[in-house]
Amino acid sequence: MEGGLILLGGGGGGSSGVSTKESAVSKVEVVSEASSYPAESELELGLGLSLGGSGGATGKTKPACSSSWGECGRILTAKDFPSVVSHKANNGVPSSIAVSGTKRAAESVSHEGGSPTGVGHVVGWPPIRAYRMNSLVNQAKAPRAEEDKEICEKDKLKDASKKKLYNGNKISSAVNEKGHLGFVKVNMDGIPIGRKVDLNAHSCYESLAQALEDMFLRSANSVGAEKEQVTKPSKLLDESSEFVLTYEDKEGDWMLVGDVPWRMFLSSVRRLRIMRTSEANGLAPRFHESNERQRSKPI
Amino acid sequence: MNYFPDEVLEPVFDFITSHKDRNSVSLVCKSWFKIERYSRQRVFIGNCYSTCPERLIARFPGLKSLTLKGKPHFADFNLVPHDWGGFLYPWIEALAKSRIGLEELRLKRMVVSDESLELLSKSFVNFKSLVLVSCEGFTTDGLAAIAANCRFLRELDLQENEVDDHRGHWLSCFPESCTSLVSLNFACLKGEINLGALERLVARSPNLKSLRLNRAVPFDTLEKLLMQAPQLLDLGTGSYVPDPSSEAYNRLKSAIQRCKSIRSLSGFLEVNPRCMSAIYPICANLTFLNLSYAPGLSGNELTKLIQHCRKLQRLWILDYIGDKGLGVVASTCKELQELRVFPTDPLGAGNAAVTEEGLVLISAGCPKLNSLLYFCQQMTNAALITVAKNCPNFICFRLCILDPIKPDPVTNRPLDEGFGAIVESCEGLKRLSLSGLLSDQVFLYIGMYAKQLEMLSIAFAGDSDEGMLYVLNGCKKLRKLEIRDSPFGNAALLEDVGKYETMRSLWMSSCEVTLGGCKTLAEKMPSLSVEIINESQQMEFSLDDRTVDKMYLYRTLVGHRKDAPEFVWIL
Repeated sequence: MEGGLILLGGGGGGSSGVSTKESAVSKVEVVSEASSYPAESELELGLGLSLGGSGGATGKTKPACSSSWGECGRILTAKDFPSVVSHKANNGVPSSIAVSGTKRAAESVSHEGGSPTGVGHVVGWPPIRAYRMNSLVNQAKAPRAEEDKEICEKDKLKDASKKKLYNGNKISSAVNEKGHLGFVKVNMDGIPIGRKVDLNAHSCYESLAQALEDMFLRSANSVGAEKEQVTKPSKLLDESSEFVLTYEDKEGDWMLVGDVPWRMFLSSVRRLRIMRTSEANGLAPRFHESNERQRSKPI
Repeated sequence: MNYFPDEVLEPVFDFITSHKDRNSVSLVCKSWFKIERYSRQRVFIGNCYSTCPERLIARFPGLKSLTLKGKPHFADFNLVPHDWGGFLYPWIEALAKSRIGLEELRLKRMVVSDESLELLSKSFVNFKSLVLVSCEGFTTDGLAAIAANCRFLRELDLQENEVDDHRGHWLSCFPESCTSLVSLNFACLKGEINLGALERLVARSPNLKSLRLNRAVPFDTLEKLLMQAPQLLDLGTGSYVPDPSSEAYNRLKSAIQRCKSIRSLSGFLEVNPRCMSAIYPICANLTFLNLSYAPGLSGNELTKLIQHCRKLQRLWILDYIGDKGLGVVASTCKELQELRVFPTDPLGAGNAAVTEEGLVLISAGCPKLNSLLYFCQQMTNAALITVAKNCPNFICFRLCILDPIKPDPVTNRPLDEGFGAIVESCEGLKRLSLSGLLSDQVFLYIGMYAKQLEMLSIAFAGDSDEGMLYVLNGCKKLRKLEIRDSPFGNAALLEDVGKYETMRSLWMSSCEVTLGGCKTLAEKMPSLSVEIINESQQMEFSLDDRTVDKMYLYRTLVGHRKDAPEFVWIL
């Protein structure tokens, strides 16, 4: 099984040493199979184009939803498109050379993949206002004309309440017609910059965790760091990690991510916070002696 | 020299309304400057950091209407971190302390807190009009304050804002005495609305001309509202899912017949496509139709509807209309001036439903077309050349091929010639957005022909610094230049540093400019503010050779802003 960078600690890998750089970020542990990753990894934030499914570099095309390393959220930079930026018009560059990896990946990623492939994952492209993007992505993309949309929506809401797992159909990712924005804010303790993540681009907690890892953490050892694959699965709820992923629900309570079915999570999440474990006391029983939850979340 | 006393000039200046003209007038001489500044009521500030509230207040004591824009345009596409800036509060705070009688506030890409809305609502007795476009930072609590405290409110227009909807009863906060509403647009709110309060509000607003509802307003309420407000000019439905056999549906049909003034229609955020025929009676008079948030219709339904809209001047639709549907638009809407075609599935595997064929059909059928925003699967040079010939009147031409570096699929060539034809033919072109595979050649053409160009958006284009230089040297009227992911570096940036003082702003992200280059520019041009948005923690201030992720520079009268967050370096 392949996994991504671990947001919240290495399950089997155990605690590697913590680097002593000033940045608080560096306290997050990163463990990987690849031997070129030293245990004390410098972590840095990176921002670049993120092209979903660009399996071109690695040929790995497992769908995001399984616990293996999905291609969604892998971050490339403009340097990954050498043929785009430096090649000149004259060579008959096939139309999507930079995205060919994507398309290959897209073909082999079954519908389970969930996260949109193709150009949808280049940050800020296509240039559509975020508000419009959220609205369009939230709408049920039913085949038109044939379907009675009214009935279709009622069924979807019923499905959600049955806690069905994501079935790979993009339509069903539009769970809640009312109220849910695709992009929610994410903050990480110790990092001044907040980000936004598109929840509609994910179909399960693993893929969300990987996307967040890419956003906030990266090994800085080599320029090509982003090309190397880290292969442990992310463990959102791992106790031994330094950070934990939490969310604020629509009632204003802070909850641990991962406890409820994905769709239910989608319908109630307002924003995310990657919290230091030390501050997360009280959110879930595993951080306490007792097993009582301080707040109970009604189903 | 002043041959007329001030009292004569003042009413003359009252006829001069455009900002550009007023700015010119104020430069003629000192006395004209003085007369103009006392008589100026409307001020437009395209970059809120180019000046400060104190200077505004000092110069224009008669200010009644203020327009402010905050974040750079690419912030709309999530390229600018959240806390970058563009805060409204300091402006309201300063204006509130002054004696300015603010009546109208129009904001774009600003961060608007509830505190600022509350202060606004309490500080200006005659406040009448609030328009927020693409803003964020406020909740429905802020709206409640506006509703409750602005006794003479005429306009509350919320367009595509990110609002934290507490589902409170903000609509109920309009007092019973409020009967002055002319325009109410809350289509972008996600939450529930107190329907009874809405009905009563509309019933006591005889001057209401524009009403745009959100998705939470069901069909039944729409029908009641239309009965109350047959005088509407502009209607945005919320949810339009009637039961075709219901009494409510019949009532709506007759209510629509009475709405003889509707010229502008939007909404249909949820829709029962089989009930669109009820709308046909008002289609004949429509000049603006916006169905870009109505993915629930089919191409056929949409086309059928449009066939009734012969007077349409502006049309915003989704691409499921298809090329054929665009052909129907072309043969029906001979008055069309503005067309926007958005992708139904923007994050999908690049499958837009329209191609160059649809655009060619439109250009052939709609010679008055002057403004275009077109998201498509592909484009050819031949098509663009044809479009340029058919429609020489473009003022705004924005083409977005979903695959950002796709060449002409027929010839495998870049789209240089096609865009070149557009800029050569359209002498009045003011705004241009490029996409597709493009070399430096397209910029040669732009620099040569686009003499009126004011705003240019570039992404994934060009080969070398030459490209950017063609534009900077050739486009004398350029005000805003925004570039992403293109190989332009320090040589282009630094060739003519004085140019940037003639522009509002320059944005460059994921290009080849280095920190050292930006520092050099900042040193040479103290009248500019050169900001580096530094999201990568490994970026150190001493590493001059590193390329910069995001640079945003703008001219300013007031030096470096004081509210920049940690990750923004102002050089």
